[in-house]
Amino acid sequence: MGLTSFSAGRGAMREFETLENPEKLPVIALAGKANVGKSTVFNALTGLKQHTGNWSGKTVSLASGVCRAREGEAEKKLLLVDLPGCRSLDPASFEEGIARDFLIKSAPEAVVAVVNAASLESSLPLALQVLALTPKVVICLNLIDEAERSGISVDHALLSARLGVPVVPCSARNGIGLSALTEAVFQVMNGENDTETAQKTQVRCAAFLPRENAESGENEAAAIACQRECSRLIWGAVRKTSGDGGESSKKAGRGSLTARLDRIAAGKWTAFPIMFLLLMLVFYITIIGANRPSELLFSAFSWAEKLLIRMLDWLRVAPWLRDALAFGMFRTLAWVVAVMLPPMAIFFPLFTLLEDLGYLPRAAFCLDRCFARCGSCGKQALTISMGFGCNAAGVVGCRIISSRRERLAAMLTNSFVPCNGRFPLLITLASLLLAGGGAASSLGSAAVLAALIVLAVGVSLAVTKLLSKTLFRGEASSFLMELPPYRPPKIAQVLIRSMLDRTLHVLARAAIVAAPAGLILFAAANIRLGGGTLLSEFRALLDPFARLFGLDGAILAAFILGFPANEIVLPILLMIYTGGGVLAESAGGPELFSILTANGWSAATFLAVILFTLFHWPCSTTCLTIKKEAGGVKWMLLGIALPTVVGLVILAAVNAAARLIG
Amino acid sequence: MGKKRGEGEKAGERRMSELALGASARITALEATGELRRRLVELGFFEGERAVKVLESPLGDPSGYLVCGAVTAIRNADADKIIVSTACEETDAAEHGEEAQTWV
Repeated sequence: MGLTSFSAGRGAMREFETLENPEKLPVIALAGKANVGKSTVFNALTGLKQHTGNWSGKTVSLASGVCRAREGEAEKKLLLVDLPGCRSLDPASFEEGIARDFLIKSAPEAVVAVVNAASLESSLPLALQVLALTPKVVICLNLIDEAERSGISVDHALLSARLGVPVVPCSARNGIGLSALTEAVFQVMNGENDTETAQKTQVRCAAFLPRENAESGENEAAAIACQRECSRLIWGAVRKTSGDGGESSKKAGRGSLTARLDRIAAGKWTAFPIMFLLLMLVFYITIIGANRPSELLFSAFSWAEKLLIRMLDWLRVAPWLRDALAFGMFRTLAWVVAVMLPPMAIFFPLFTLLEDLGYLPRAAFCLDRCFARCGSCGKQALTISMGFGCNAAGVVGCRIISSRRERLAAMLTNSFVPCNGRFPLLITLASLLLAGGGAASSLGSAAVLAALIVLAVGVSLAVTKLLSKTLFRGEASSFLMELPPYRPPKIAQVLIRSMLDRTLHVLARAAIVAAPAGLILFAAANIRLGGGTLLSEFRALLDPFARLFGLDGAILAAFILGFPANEIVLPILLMIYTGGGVLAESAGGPELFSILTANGWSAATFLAVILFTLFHWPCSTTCLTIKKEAGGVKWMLLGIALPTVVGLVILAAVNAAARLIG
Repeated sequence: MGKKRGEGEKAGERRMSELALGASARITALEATGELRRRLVELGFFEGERAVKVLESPLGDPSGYLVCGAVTAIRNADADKIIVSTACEETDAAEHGEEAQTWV
């Protein structure tokens, strides 16, 4: 989901060569496996709004932020760099390679290795490999609260004495241990730790570092030796305080709460109903929550518009320019914001909550069989859910898929799932279809939307299967995914962060795309050419073709003109329908419905437009991203052709069926 | 690897995917090669480690295995390439039984 992953991968490689550091602050790297709360530590230390998720291998970008910390009396600044989550420093894989390169080439002043106190065995190996590169390491023993809950206590002093570097117990999400952590960083930078032991540790750990161009079996032996060393190190330092009270240090077991939840979330009979109900619940809350704010925004904007007109009159602006600015530009912008913003500000925080809770990996776990059947990689579940946020981000996210043919298939099918810009359109149309001009049944709309998502993912998978049987033939690659324990999400933090991030993003996008588009459209709707305006000529031209698929010329024109961003499809459509190029001032449910039905929309038309919203060419940003990521115009063209053809075929079938019925 | 397979054809030896839900076993050999093998070893799936099957997908594939304190989902086709032995599990059962119970 993270829009942060936009700067992922190759972009990030370039990024760290010219790491922005104008103040020449000491650089501190943050390394750790996925699911050890590394990003939480980063956020807690820097206050930077970086999105954290409970996904394996999620942060592929290098985020950096300034951390203000006290060293004795003085306040000092450090530049913290968040390395990609990885389990080892093996140069053979993508994320690991980035982390390794950074540590070697940028030679940070110190490295904070974040480990999971509740599962040291799986998270300490990376710390040991980091120690092989530099003795200036602080081990952040994160998630001590989670460890305590599962009855595990870690003797950090003993570990520290064994390694020669500070081991600081933390609970970043609760803000515990952070000042001790920065103190330890300064300690290590100044060489005030047990440097003798630390250097011995470095020498010992050198054998655990995977090598480039290693002979077969060499790195494997290193990995095994590393794991064995971890077991040796934590022997006696990790205790199970509850339960048998024994020295089962190896069993950094997981709380039974996760097990109990998993019995339901991944249960044979419960898994899929729960998945559907959760999806429906998310939409239900979105729909009922978005109505009122949408109305408020509409009235606020219409008040602002009157003010704008009065101001333009006062400035003695020519009437045609005044109309273009107020009715063309401002009203389109206001429309996009009022319709798009509230649902998004509710939907995405909810989705992020599920992500933070750790539910998404379970969903991927339950659905993997379907993915495997379609010859696709399990990681496609992740790129699809990124696509819910933004298809372009989803396409970039496909970098995490290592096999080229699977990566291409995932990129080309990403736009089959609805993104940011299309959800509100779907929500609006689904509500109108169900309720007509009357009061919308939110529960019904939610069910329809959830069903549409299932359909979208289904079609995306079907096309993936088609591609893997034809264009990208080959063996399905393996799929290994860590299932992290469920974690109570920090609700307030998630809400505020994802609401702010999304809101700003949407507003910026609306301003950049909708405002000029509104202006151009207003011109197109008012400039006369022969019999009609540019817009009406265009509409008439498309009409016969569009009718074949149960659409009309206006709808097709709106989708074509909405190529820069799907957000503006509905405003364009209304602009065409209402003639003079002036958007209806307040297009609440009933009013919108009457405009549409007045233009000959039947239930079949609503259905056709909903389906076309799901399946048509991707927006311009996504197309360009496909071209860049797949490396060729032909892939971009295929990426446009696939959803368009699939959409038109579905529409033609629906249209034929609708004619048969009535 | 081949040597280990030879001596390991004894009772209790099976593929990891064949483990019952909640059962634990010791890994005796890794037949996977290439990238998969590298990733598996990195996750702690190598000779001598103990694996517990803690979770099964509702569609039967993949399954989740607890190894080295973390649960990893592995497709059955891949888990087929990990040979485990349940032969010595009687003695270990007492030690690990409780853990398996909290999971299943």
